[in-house]
Amino acid sequence: MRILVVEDYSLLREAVCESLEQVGYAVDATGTGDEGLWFALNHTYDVIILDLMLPKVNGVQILMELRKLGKGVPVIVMSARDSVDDRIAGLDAGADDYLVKPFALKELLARIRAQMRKLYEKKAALVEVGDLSIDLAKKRLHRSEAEISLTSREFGLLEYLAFRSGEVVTRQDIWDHVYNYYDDANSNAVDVYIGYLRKKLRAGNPLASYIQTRRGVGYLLEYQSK
Amino acid sequence: MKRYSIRRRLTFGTSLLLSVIFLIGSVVIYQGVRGSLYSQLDEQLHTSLSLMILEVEIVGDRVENEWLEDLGKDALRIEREYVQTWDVVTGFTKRSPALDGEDLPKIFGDLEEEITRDVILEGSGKKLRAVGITIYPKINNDNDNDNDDDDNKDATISAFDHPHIVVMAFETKAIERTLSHLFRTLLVGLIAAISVCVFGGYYFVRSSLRPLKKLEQDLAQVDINDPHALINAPDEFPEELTGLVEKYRDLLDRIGRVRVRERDFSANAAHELRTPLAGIQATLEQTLALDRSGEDYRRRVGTSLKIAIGMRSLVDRLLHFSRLQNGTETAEMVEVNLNETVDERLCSLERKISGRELKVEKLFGRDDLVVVSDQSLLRILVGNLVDNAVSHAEEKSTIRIELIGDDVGGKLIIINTLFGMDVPDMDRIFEPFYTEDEAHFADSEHSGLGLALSREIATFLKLGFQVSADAKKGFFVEVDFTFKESGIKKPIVM
Repeated sequence: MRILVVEDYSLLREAVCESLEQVGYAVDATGTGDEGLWFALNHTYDVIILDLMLPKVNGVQILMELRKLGKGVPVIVMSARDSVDDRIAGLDAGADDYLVKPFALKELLARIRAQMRKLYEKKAALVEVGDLSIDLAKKRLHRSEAEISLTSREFGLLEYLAFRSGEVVTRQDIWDHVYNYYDDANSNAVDVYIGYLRKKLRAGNPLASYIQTRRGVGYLLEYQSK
Repeated sequence: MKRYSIRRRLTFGTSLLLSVIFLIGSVVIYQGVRGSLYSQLDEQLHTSLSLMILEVEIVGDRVENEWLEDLGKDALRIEREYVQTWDVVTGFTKRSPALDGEDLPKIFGDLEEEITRDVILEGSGKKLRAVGITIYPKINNDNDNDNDDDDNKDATISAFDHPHIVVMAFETKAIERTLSHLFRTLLVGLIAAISVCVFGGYYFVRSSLRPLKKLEQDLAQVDINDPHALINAPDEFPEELTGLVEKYRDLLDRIGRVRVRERDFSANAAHELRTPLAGIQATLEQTLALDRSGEDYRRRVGTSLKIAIGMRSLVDRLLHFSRLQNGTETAEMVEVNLNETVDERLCSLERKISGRELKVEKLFGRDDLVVVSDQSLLRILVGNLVDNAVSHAEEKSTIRIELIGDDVGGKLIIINTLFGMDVPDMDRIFEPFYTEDEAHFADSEHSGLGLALSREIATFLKLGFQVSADAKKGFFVEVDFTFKESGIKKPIVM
């Protein structure tokens, strides 16, 4: 899942980005409004975390521009302005959520997950594929009681496939939602990580197949047993 | 405290005033009519008396009064005319029948002088208007009258031996009746007029004051938290209240602007404190989220400490600002060398100055400018101004700092260019947290409090403080240390 963080206070921005990357999100970050708007308009994000008081172009202007151009990406505003009027202004400008600084990172992560569930129309935080349980809230993968260890990038990939379970996901979609702006645009990077993931998923059940390839189209998260 | 009522005062005052006017008018009318009626009566009396005294004449050895004698022949006159004559020498008197045996008072003055007086007959109580005169009877030498033998008799006595007092009177009953009727009419009119004044006045005053009630209601409905609150429908207010309404609107407008400033101040203060606080919280949460090396822990704690130091600096500035605005700041007067203060600040900004490739041109006087003032406040003031110039001057430009002094005072002038930059909004430049960009450049240590704080310090230390900006001349700040007017005790030349 790919997230854009627009926050001018670098120390906060860095801490938030680090926290997001730890749980497997691909993160782009910037400290100015104009760059934030450029990122938002030219890339695909699952959630945008947006400060309101930004240099050059403020958060409300970014929100209004996005909505004017029909961009429905969920936006969580994080602002030091805590009055009811400020919250109303932020939400009316097009924000999907409003978080007042200071906040616990856990809360920010929970709100991001909530926005993603809404975006992909997943009411439950648990996705089951065959004998696998993917806990989207705790970022854990289990087979029966045993936890399968994944890297953050691998879990990010699985999470995206889980959110879109039942659909064929193109490589471009995966690229857009699992890799950030600074990742190398290696043409087979997606295939390589799909390979890693398949290997780990099948480790406890060699006869099962969880990620199906649709040649020339992409991948589908679906359980098949041989 | 007892409060007076405009409605009662206006109603009572207007009614009283109009009542007095009506009363005076009524009295004038009454007296005018009375005077006119009595004047008419007096004229009749005088005319009749003039005619009558011609009829008092000496016939032979007697004094006769043909007027009295003819009176009996006229039924109308016999009841109306009250006449009595006295022979002053003999005391002999004659009365008209209307007197019914009563005496009129003897009214007389000098010879042939007519005296007019109101009299009341003691017996009948009749009110009369009387005129009296002293005359000598007329000598009758007229022998042409063949019809009356007595009239042909020549006077055998001297008229001067028989001066007569003649008093003639008319009843005033008709006049009194007319006046009484007039009095009642005027009284009823007066009461009616006063009543109309009281009730009409009450109605008009009440309806005139109704807009005040409306104004009161409008003011009661004003939401003081709404910076754009207005009094509704000012067109309905009468002309006299327009000024008041306008003043209230101005007042609300000013309150609104103050509220906006307060709100902005709170929001900006919250932003300036909450954002670094969020940074500390997020950094520490992240620090504890994973097992880390000692070096990583040190780095993260160091980051949090850096944020905390920045916050402490901001809190210090906010406290100074608050104390200065509330008048609770205290000054500790010591000798302060302004040249050293400027140099210290420039030294601390050396890296920033070289990083921005700025040239600092110092125009200092031959002697250092040393003043007696509050050192910490002056350091903040000078530091803010130098810092502002270094931060906001165009890269690779020149900042000029002048520090000059003489026997009467000193000046600190700082000028930095604005080439290629927007001229700041001079109306808002002293607002706390005002910056050209609302983000306040969270990373740049500039919260927008510097100039506001500097001005408060200058005001507190009674220093002159001027700021101007021009696209060509640049941003100009002058701090005037005029010894006479400032809190500075004396100039000390080192």
